[in-house]
Amino acid sequence: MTDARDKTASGGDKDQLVSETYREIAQEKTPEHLDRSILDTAAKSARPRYSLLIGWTRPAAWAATIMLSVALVYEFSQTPELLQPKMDASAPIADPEESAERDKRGRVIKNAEDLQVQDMDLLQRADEMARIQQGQDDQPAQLPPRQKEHAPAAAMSAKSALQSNDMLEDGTNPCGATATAEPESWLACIMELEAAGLTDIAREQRALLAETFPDFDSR
Amino acid sequence: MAANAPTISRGSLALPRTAESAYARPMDHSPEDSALMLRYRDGDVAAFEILYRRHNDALYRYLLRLCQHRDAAEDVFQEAWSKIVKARGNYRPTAKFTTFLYRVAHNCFIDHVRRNKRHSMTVNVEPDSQADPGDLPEMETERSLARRRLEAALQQLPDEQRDVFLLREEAGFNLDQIASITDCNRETAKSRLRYAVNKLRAAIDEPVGTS
Repeated sequence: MTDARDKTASGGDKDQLVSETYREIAQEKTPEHLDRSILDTAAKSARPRYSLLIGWTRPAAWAATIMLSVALVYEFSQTPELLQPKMDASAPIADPEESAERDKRGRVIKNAEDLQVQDMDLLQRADEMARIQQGQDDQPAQLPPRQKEHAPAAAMSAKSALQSNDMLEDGTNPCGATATAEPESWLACIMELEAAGLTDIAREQRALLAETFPDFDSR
Repeated sequence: MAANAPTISRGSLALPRTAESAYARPMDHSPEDSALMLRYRDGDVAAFEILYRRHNDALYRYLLRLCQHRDAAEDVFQEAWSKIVKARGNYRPTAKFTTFLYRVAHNCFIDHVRRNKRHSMTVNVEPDSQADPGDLPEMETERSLARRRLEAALQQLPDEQRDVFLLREEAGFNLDQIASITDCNRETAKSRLRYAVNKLRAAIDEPVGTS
């Protein structure tokens, strides 16, 4: 239908004559060299894009990538400290009661260290008093003049130290472990307590001293 | 005519989406063409040679008369087939192979015209191989004259009209296919063909004394 309409529109018989005449003159053939050139191009293009010489590059690149990835994973697995911050961040938050208990223990340890420093001073004083006591067997032990001057201050500091912490409440020895290790230093501590006016504590300490060291003369 | 050459519109390389126009008038060997092209896409060089031998001469004549210069026609012919070869990987048999082939060739010709400013009216087509009209019988002389006049009139046609006429004569395309290849509407293609045929017929019917 379309062809018939087209033929009518373009001239019908006139078109037929023109076509026959054209077919008589249109006898050219493609040159042989052109055929050869195009067929050669088509044959070359149909070959594989990658030759055997460079065909190894793609699998080699894949292998290198895989080996590098494995090496990186192994390296990270051998260095756990790099992951530590992340693990700490993910740890649960500490209990507030545990934190308070830990802070209290820290304060007690610090006070004990301070008391140990004071015990060293007391130990030195006890040595001096022991020497005085050996020279005056019948006389009651007296503090040397220098100690008399400093006794109230030392006693006040000892009292404040004792009152500042809860050692008395805990029932521990107010003279400390270092002072009570030797009877002389213990006695010096007792004397300082007496000089500070803590007679009840001094009396208890003296009784403890007599029990602990029965051979020692604590008078 | 040279002034008319660059006015030809360049058709798109994209194949038509609807098969209605492309298959308006089926050709005898279109299914085989598509199958051969698909085989060549898969690496079968022999299939391409069959395909090439089937269409090379008609395409060559189309370009020879369109370019009106043998060297230019060979260049465009080679470029067109090279594009077909390169496009084999993306080839889909959604349209007739001949439509695809001639559209590529048409676009190569347009590119050639735009690229080569020396596109001229040089007539380098082989002359009529028939003997001199004075040495032949009267009927043969008339036919020879008709061929010469047709050849001359064909060269004098505007590029658009000559393009439409050659597509119809060499590839047997209908108006819809011609419109698709030359990137114009059907009525424009029909008008161009009518003008071309009328001019050629007038040249053939021209009295002997006026040639």
